[in-house]
Amino acid sequence: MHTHIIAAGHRQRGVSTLVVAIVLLIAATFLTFFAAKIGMQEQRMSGNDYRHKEAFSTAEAGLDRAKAFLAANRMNFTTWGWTACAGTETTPPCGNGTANQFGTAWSWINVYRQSNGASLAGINWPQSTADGPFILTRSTASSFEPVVLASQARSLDGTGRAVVRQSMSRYLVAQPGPVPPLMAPSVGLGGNFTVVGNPNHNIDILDITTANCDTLTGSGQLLSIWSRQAVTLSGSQQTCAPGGYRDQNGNRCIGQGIVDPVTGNAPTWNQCQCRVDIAMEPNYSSASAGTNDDIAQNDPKFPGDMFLYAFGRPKSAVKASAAANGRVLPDCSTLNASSTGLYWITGACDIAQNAVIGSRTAPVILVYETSAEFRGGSDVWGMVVGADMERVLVNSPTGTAPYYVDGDFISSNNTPATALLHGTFTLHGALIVEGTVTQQGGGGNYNILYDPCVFAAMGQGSSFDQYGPIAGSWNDAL
Amino acid sequence: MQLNKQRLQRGLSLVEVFVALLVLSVGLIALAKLQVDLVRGSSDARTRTTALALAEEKIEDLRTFALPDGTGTWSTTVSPMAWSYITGPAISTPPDTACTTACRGGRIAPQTTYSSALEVSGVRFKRTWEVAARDFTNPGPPSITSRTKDVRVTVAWLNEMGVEQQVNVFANLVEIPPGNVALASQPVSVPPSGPQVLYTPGLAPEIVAVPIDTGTGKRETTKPLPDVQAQGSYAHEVRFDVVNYHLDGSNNVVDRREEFVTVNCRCALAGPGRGRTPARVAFTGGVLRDKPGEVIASKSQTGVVLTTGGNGVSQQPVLCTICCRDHHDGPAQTVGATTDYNRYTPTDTSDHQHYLRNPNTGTYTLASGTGAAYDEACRLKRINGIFQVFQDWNLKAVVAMPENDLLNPTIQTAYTSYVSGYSSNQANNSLATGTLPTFSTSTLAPGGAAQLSGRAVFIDQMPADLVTFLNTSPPPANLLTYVPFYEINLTKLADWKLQNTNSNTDYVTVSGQTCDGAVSQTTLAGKIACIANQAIVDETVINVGVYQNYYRGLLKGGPVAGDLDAQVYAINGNTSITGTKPLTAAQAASTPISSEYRFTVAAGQSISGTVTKGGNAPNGNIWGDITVTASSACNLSGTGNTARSFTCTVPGGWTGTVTATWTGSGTHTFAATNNVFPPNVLPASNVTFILDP
Repeated sequence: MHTHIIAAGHRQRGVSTLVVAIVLLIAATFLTFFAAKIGMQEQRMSGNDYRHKEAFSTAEAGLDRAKAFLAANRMNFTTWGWTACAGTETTPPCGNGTANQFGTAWSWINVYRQSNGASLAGINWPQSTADGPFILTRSTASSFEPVVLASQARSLDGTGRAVVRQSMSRYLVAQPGPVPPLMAPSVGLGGNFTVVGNPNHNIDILDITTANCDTLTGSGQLLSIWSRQAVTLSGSQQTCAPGGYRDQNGNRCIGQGIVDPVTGNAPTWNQCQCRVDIAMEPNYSSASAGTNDDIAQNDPKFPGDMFLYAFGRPKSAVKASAAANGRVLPDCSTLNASSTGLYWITGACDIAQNAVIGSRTAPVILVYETSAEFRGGSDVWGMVVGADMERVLVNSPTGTAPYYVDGDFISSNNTPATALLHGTFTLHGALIVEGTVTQQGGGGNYNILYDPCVFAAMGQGSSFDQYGPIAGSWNDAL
Repeated sequence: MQLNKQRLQRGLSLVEVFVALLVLSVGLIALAKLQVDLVRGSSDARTRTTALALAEEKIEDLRTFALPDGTGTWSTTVSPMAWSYITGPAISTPPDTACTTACRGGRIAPQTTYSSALEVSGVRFKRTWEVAARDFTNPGPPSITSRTKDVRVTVAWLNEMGVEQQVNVFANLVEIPPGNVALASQPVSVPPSGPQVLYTPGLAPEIVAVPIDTGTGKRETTKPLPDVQAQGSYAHEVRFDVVNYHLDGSNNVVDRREEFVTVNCRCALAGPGRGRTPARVAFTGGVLRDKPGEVIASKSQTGVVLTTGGNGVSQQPVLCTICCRDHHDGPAQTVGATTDYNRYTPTDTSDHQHYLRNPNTGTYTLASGTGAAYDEACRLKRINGIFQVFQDWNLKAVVAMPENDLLNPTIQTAYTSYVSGYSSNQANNSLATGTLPTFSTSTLAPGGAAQLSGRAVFIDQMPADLVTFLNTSPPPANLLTYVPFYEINLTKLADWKLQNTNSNTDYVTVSGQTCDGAVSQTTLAGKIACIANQAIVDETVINVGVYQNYYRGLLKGGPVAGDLDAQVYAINGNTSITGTKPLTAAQAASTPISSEYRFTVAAGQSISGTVTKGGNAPNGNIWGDITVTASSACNLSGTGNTARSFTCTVPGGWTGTVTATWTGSGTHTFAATNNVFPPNVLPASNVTFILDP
């Protein structure tokens, strides 16, 4: 019995070794399985992540292609075959996959179909091309209204899905109201100063295109100078209509080397002036004839915020846009004839003698913060805006009127933006100064010529007519 | 059995250990292998995730370009942040990871070898990219190219087996700088209405404003001012503006200003050359506008101003250069389904010819061949600041009325309603002409004067799309804002004449005497009245009621009582504005557009008296003449050196002075006796006798 017990004890010990080993083995196996499960999980996560990123980057590429297509075909926007959202769809474009997202106010197009497939060329688009990308708009009549671009894509194996949406808006860098060639709170000039006015005083600049800028007609009322205060002309200052600015042979002067279509000849540029004898168009206003109705002076409706009037947007946004395009510069020394688009000059802008800045078909919008000096013989094509960064509203009678038309603006800056003009300088476009316009030493001829084609060019081309994303509009919510 | 069992159990125990060891080791080895595979697999997954993150980092980096275009010249070197700086080898299979074309763009440099590669958790990653331009172009116009770049970023690494692994991430970059968010997100402020140009409306009776909309909008024409630049009836230049304005607060503000200069010129044909087609009315964008003439490099006919030579007229208006050059029809141009003949009178069925008028005989000679002289009249309008020849004036109606009636608000309103109604009807192709207001009646006394006003309505030929628009049902609101009508004061430019009331034969006009303020009753003896129709000369000053340099439409009552019609008439065309002779025989023979105003000349009153010498008067015939002022006829009777009697016909209600003059010297006394005046009209005390000296 004892031995039995001993024997039993031995046998039990032997059995326990195997059992323990097996138990250990099982435990290790479980541990390993657990670790394997963790590892598998990790790989699955990584795989999911990869597939999601694959779908996501495809969707992003589709979104970017939709942007490019939209930007390239902006002029045809209104003619696209828009489909109205029914308000009940749960799938893109009008739905988000599970619920309706865009109501009946929205219309959409399929960019793939609209572009005949070009929009997705080169992209491995693993789903049906009926699935977009899409452009949605609330106004099929105007491409300047914000649009929503939506792109949904799947991973190559079809298991991952990503949707990205972004709102874009088309805008013009500058969207001025009707402008005369010279606009300033006060104009105090001497010397030989010639202003060739805007022949259609209230023409909407958005209506002018490079195709119609020579032929589009408007009110027929000439406008040369717009001032908050009274304008007194002295010396040989004069204003005339575009047809009156000619050389000694009667050729119209638009720019150096620009042929007058009526005579077929280019003008002799240094002979260009307001000519009564050849054009039979007496000066509208001059020191001797006094100010005529082409000078809008003492205008109580003169905009208080001239910058807002010239751009349609406040200084901060315009400067940020210039910065985003790398166009905030310390001075004007690097500008030349091929410069085009918006330039924001933080220091003094000194246009050198005989310099040519911009061109008739690719002009500049030049904003300067401190002062600008235009030296003799120079030509600037475009709109020059003197922005007084310290200009503040001190007295708003209504507080709500846009532009604070009736309010008083003052500058806390002792030297608000000034434009100093030198002899034989010519600006083709408009000079808008939130400060004073003065001339150098009282000598020389300086000319500001309104040219509708310059403003037309300011409404077209990627330097002026741009698309941008709307802040906070990007989302990838499914 | 027990022993055996015990020994067997001990032996089994050893075997058992071995077996257990064997089982355990086999199991553990398998597990270890599994574990290694798992570890390797999960580290591979982790590495792949890292690689993916690195690829995405680079894509986001590439998106941060700042310049939309590399052509910006703000820096002497291309900025690393420029769009054009994003380059790389073409996208290929397998991916080019060697950057055979420089991989550029963004701030993160490419890594093409493992030795220089980025190390994350002990793994080195190469990171390169490939770029393919993919532009979207719309041919326009205007042609717009929107540039994008396909980018594929490849991140490669060596796994533990030393085999290269890759992840590829495809992206598309569009040339829209992310920073554009600033302007895109800022809603554009609607600018206030542009600069206001103030307008001071003209004064009645010379200028009358016609309401054109339901608000305060009006259209008026400033007074036409003739400027005669050369001798005779040549080289007239008439300027006026037509202004649309409305009331804004207390100011009248210009909405539209049309500057017209109408000239007549003596030109000569110059053969083919460069010139413009006629400018005309256009309906663009739902607004009444002008369509400028088109410059044609070789029109089949042009002209030049003829200032010297046989038929030359010196000192012509400078704008005659444009007039002579451009006022030739053609060329015909087919636009779509319609042919535009570019004619100055759109209703013409052939191109107009040019004639030279002989001022003495009034005959017309066709100008043919280069250098041939001809007469021309042009309507020039300043379009986009440049004077261009516009399609010819199209006279529709004239109205004659007493000028002072336009000072009466009721009649003035009735007249402007007539003009607006007439213009609307014409625009609607209605034949109704509207009802003229009832003008006040004029009764002139002998020697009495009245100024008439002749006003005209011109309506330009309208393009078909404008006519269609005007004839939609219901008619567009504020219809008149779309109608190119002009109400013009032609008093001093149109012709005037008198007619008998019962027939249309012209009343015999005064010969050899201008019917102006100075015409005497003696000149008008036997006549009912005369009307002024003087030759046009320079007129520079406008004053209400003051007719400065010449007279037209001025009535003067004669000694005979009766009714007459005063007629204002003009022949359609540009010469109706210049006030010159028609340009062609056909025009001259056409029926003028006219209007008549009936007036009455009342019988005059007779005054008479006798002047006698005083006691110390000298002997002999010392009487000179006795005259009565205010241009009335006065007859003397009697001879000799005694009393003389006089009889004068004066208007009813006349007051004035009768003056007796005599020749000789010395001081004498006279007495006026037997003065007889119509007691119902004239108190005797109102007539003063001055016995001269």
